[in-house]
Amino acid sequence: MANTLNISLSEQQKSWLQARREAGGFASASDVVRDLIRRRQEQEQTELVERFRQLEGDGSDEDEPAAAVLKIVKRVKKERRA
Amino acid sequence: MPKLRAVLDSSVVVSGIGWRGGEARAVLKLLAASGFESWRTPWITAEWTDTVQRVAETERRWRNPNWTNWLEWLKAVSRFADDIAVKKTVKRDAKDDPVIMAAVAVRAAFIVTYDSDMLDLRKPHGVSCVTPRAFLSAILRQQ
Repeated sequence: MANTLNISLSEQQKSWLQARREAGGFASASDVVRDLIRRRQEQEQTELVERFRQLEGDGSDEDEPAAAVLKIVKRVKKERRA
Repeated sequence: MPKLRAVLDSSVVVSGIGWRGGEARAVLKLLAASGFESWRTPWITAEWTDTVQRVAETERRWRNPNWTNWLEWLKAVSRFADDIAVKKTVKRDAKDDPVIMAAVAVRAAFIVTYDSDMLDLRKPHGVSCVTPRAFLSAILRQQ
């Protein structure tokens, strides 16, 4: 389902979008924006996978004190819902 | 096939960040591998932060001083929905909880949680409340 979003652009940004549409053979400005978003999402995904690899070794390798942790979590939840 | 949508309850976020050998960490690992979509709202994000901070400060067996970077990663990797849209979607009743409301609003199939109160609800408003283990099994079945 397509969603419509009105975006304000400067004259320079609009002309860049039009140039990109013409040069890239896109049917519309919306196609250009969708392509930009897709590329950015792919780039972000790659970066996030790398960040996860860097974080992966963090944390305790002991058994989790599940009951103690859940007790704290429930207390925080109760406070937030009060 | 579209990816399964899930909302991670703070109980799972705390466990996944704090302890690297458990099933909650396996859920975060699956998220890093794009195995499902995690969704969050401002309310849920604030609760993740509050709970992780509290456990980090008070639980002597906590061993992850890097938890703020973990939360930043989780925020970045999760899809975002506004709280306002959530409030419009579900009428509040005794069983309604901001986490359940968010899950309904983003059409999530699962809430992944260790919280027995939520697990007891089983399937509020059509959203399955499951443990990390059950969630991982459901993803494996789908693949």
